[in-house]
Amino acid sequence: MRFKRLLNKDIVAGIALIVFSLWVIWEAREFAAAAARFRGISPALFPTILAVGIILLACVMIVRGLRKGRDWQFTFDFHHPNAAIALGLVAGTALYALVLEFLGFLLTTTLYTLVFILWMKGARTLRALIIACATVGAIYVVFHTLMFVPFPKGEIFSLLLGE
Amino acid sequence: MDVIWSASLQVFQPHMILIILLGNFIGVVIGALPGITGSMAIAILLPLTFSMSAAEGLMLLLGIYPGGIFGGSIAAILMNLPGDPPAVMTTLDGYPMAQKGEAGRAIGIATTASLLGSLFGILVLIVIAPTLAKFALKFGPPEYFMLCVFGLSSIAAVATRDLTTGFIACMIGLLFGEVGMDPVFSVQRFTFGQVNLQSGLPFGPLIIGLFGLAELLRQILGPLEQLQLRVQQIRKVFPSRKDLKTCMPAILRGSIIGTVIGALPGAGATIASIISYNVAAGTDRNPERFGTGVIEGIAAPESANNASVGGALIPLLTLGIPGSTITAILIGAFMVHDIYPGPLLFRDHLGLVYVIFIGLIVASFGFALFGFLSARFAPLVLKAPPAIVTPLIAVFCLVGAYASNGNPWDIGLAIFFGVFAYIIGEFGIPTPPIILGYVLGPLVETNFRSSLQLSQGSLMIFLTRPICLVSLILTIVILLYPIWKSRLHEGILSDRGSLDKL
Repeated sequence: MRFKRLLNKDIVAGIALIVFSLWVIWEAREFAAAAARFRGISPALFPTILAVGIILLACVMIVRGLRKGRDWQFTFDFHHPNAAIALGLVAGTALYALVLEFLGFLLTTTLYTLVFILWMKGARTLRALIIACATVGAIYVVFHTLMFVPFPKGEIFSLLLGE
Repeated sequence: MDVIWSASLQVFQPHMILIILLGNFIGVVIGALPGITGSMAIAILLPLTFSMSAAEGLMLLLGIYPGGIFGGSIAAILMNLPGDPPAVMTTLDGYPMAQKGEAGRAIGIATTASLLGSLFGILVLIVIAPTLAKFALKFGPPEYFMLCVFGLSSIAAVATRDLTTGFIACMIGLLFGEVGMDPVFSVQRFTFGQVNLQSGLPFGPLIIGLFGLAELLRQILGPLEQLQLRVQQIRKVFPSRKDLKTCMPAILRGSIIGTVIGALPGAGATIASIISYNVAAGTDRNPERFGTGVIEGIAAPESANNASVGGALIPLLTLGIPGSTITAILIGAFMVHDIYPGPLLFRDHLGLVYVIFIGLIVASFGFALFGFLSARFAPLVLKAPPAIVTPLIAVFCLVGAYASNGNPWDIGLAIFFGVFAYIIGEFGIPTPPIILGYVLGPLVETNFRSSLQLSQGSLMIFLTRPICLVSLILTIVILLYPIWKSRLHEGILSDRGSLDKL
């Protein structure tokens, strides 16, 4: 019963913030030591002040949470109909970042857009492919051709062409 | 008078107007694209101006500058994705309006407020530039520090529902600004030994993660009806007389705040938009309305950030001091043509000075033209089925995150911050103060350390200087105001309760 009372958003956030701030203070000690041979205001001073400030405010949150009692449920609802899409967005984006340089911008981005539209049942395959190609083409023209943003061509093509 | 006449003749030539409009168009488009900033566009296009005359080159760049500042509001309203830091405050009321189907009206208000703010800033630039420049020079490190403290305190107090979580968010943002190599001692801070973090957390992925990707996650995981098609009313893009009357006080205050803050080197449009929004919310009879989609919440920051353009040009033109990245690049554009901004500019190149003034006025109407066009057509994006728009916004976010540095690592950072913002949002910690803390972090810390260096470690330096003291008093007032107001509210409720009992 007492544990259940602790399941309050403010208490959970407060404890997490205190742990984070203690880590900040610990890290700050290390770079304070690295700068100790120089004269001047320590680079650890400002982060330490901020961390102490967060600890004080986190204590306020915890006290507030103790007064309120239990109000927290798990943040992520695994039974939500779109939970798989949300997890797919996170995982797909991480995968996109990993394969971007290997497969190249055009192929990776077109595949990402196509799969995402199909998964969200936004359009049928052919229409989704047309939307994906048009979008990626427009992005390529604006960012690469007009704004000179260098997009990766893809190492796979260099390997296939034997360059 | 002759100088003004000949400058007008020079500006109103067809090719000059086309150059200004081209600059405006580039500025608005780039401002709306996440990951590409106005300063980046000006830097890329600077070499193009080498072959032009000084007036033509400056007109192109000065067309991009206000256009870029305004353009940030379009993506902020439509996708909750501020194209640049000053547009962060516009998301607070602009995006809720778009969700209510009023994206066209919101962009129309943003355009009008930006136009009026921009014209006000230019007017001040023309009339009292030298006086304001002298005032701006009185700001040393302690004054800047206290100004930033005031800005951050006011966002924690007014723009968020809860003072505690608002302050926590500001401090987390300030800590994000600490990541990277220390500017004084060259010591690595919070980099985990990663080369990619040595120059700090990149702005593009951070803003895209905290706003764009987090919002996508919220939409996907929100109530299913939220993903239904939103009907957008885009017939009226020009603000009605009633809307204008409602917004005018916010626009006027925002214009004054924007011009004064813009004139301070290093402060700029972001602080101006924060303070303007908070003043508008703080002086409103029902500040609780702010953040739910009210037009004053768009008018206040938009008028301020565009008025800051005129303000930022004051120290540049009168003293030769560039106060921001954009004005630093602009000073380069002057120097390429062997022209040096400063007091001598008004003596040796008075004609060019007036060409700049008149060109800026034309540029303001130019970006307003594109603004009203975008108010008419940009909301059509939201008319597409969410099952198509959501993937396209996701792709747009990824490309924006990558484009800022051309590094796939930044896409990973963006998704990390997206998940982070989603989780902390569930705990009631707001994201706008984080990004504002991050943007102001280096400025706050540098000025804090410089102040302590000046005073040999004594904090009294923040109490003994007049401007610091005024900022401190304003900070205390703005922090106590919500507490006083809630006590007053509780008092009224208890009085009503007693009356009911009677």
